[in-house]
Amino acid sequence: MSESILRDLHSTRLDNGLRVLVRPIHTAPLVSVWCWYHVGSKNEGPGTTGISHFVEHMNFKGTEAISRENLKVWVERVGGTWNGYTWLDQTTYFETLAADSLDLALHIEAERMHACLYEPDEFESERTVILAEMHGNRNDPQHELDIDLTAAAFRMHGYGWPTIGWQSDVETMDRQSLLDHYRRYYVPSNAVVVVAGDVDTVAAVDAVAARFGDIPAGAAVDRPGVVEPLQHGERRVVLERPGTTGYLEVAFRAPAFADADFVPLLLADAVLSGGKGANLWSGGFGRNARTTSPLYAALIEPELVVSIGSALLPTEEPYLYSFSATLRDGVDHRRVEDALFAAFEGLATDGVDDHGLTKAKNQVLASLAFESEQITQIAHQLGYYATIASLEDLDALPARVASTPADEVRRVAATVLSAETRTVGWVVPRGAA
Amino acid sequence: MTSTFAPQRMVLDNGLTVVHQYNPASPAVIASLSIVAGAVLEPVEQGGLATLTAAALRRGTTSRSKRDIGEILDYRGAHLGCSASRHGTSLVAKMRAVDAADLLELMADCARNPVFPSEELEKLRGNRLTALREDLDDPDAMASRGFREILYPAGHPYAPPVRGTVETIESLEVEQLRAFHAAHYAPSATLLIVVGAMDWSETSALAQQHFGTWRGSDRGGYRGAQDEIPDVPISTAVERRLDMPDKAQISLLMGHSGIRRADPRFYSAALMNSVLGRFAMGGRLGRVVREEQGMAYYTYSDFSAGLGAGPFSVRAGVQPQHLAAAIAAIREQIEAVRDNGVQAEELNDARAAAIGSLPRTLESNEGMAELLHQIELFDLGWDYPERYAEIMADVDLDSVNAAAGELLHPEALSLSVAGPLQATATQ
Repeated sequence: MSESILRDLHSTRLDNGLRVLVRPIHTAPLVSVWCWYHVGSKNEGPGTTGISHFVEHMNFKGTEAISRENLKVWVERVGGTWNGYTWLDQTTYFETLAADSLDLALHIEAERMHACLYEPDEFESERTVILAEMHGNRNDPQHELDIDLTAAAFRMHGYGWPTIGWQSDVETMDRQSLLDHYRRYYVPSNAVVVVAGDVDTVAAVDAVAARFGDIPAGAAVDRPGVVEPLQHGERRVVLERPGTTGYLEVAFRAPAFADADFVPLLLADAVLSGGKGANLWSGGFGRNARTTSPLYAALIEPELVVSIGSALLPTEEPYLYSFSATLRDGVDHRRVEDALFAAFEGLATDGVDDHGLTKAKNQVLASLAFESEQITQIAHQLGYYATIASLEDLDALPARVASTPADEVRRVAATVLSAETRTVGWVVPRGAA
Repeated sequence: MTSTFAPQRMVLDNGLTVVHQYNPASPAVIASLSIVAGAVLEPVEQGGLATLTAAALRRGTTSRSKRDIGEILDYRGAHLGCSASRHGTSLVAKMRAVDAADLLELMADCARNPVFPSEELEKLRGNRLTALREDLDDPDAMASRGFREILYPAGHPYAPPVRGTVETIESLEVEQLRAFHAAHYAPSATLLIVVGAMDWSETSALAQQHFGTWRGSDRGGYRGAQDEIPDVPISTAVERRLDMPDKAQISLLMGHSGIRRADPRFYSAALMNSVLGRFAMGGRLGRVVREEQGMAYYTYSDFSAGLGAGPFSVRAGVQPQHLAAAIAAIREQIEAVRDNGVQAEELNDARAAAIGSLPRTLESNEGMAELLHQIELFDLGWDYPERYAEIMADVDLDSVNAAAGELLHPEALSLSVAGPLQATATQ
């Protein structure tokens, strides 16, 4: 329905191993530069949880050639915006700014790759900032539940701990460990630079090479290779705590993005609660169930919950497919669970009819188009998938969605939405105000 | 950068204003219908009426059930959000361009012919009550509530909570929603903005077809129908501290009365505020409170300048042991800007950032629609994007520093905090 996200894409690799993706788009006088590192919280372990996120914070604190302030000031001075994030599989940084400032963004990202300072004072002050970020998150009971539930769902794999890390690890992390982590993973051979926007392809590749070409390749990066043991029964987390509102979350083991079952599950999700796309940056995950969806009929219509959302995130290795509900006042968690599980059973048993499948596909395809409208989003998608899967898989997504048959959706729903492999979490408010 | 900015505008015979901007960059369209039917128009004892009326628009019309409406949207993967704020009600649709005709028809039906089924009101009421109770467990919501209460005196249109209270929501009746709709949803108080891959001839024809037969009282046009909001004088500082002992972090709000969008000092205030608490991640406040002292994950300031004078405010999330120091540091930075002004280089940066950010705003259909709304609401003129750099260039250091002297009142900063306050005593 819409043009390929790879249209006019140029992909190359510098001698030091840095992958470079350039996509000229001339709809606005802007360029978006993203630098991706194939390292996230799954590369950590007990004692070092949160180190990738801490490194991300430190990489905004100044480099040999650019001060802490100028990392931000230079971009904003030309009307640009910037940010970064750390997630399960990757860490990324971006600038979107006037196209004639491309080299400024490349200069910043090249410096960030090899010349961050990690000054001791900055390190201690940033630790308290991260703890403040963590405590702010913990004000939200649904966030707390999600952290505990995810930890219960995984026993071995690095997807089990929060990206921000466990508080005890963040409190005790030392500067040398951060520096080691930074030097190990922030190397050209572990990175992808994406340039999308109002640029000339050849000139953009040359500009990337000029800024990054002399950075040493670095040693090959070890991959964790942890396989989560099979789950043989339901797991439960109950947080009884002061509060006013009950919440429920249920998570199932989900296939990785590159797995053949991912697209059928994306459609099963669209059938159950409404179609989302596949863009972590533009959101859409967790949106309330659509009015004509089975979960709306099962939970919202009978006034069991205020909202029910779901999320199937594209990840490199098998992660979770989760549902989160906010309970109406006075509703028992068990009733909500029963209604939710009955809706799962309905899809697993009866499958989806032609109309329902077409509707689900239309929703996913529209979302995929909506989330690739702006150059920042397009650049994000290119880098995200080049890091965790392949550009071919990203490009094939709309066609695969369109061609997935109903029996595949039913089969995958029946496989994934199994009582044996689910983890259930409750927040039970004590002493409602 | 603004070469493609060429909006079209017309006013239908019934007074409804239509504004359109073509954007072929993606095969999508945004349509936003803004109606002068906000919470300022509801009686205090019917708090939340405007928001519940808006939420009920999608719950059934004279010719469609809630399910019918859902089916139209869900089959097309489109979105239609219906909500109300202090000053207005808005219906915002996002869809593929090929679905725009169907969605504009649906949008018109929801705005013009809602039936407000009583069973749907009960569902919306239950959801709202749960949401209001959730607020009691949310430090951000409670700090904001406290801040509003100490800033605006009873009787001021900005004093009551937009979403109502448990008491007002429990008492609302279907007839009140119908009466609110009948009284305030009028074409002459409505603005339709369409942005995306659809041309003007199609937009104007669809607007005429689906909105042209809408009849209603003459409310004087979208701008003319807006309410006058009285200013609130700068008062003495008031503190509101709410202890939420089971929470992990304190939400902090400091501030006082600000200015309206029409204030001649608006642009000076905006650039001054950028230096104080926005530019490069929180301006001076961010540099001191976050970067140098590590006391907060976020802190920023804002002049909320709209039809009425919203507050000047500073927000931060702080650990209990840092609360006193964070308050002192914020106050000190505000004092410094008021007393000593900002530096020429800081102003240059803030100005360049403002000018340079315009192309990013115009890149998305949503950003373009919001800018068109601002232009229409505040009578900025269609050449506003073209003039923007000039407007900003005219803001000199003297005017910014004069605005700082006139608009910042560190001695009158009210404070609202919510979170685990007791831990401050046991640090």
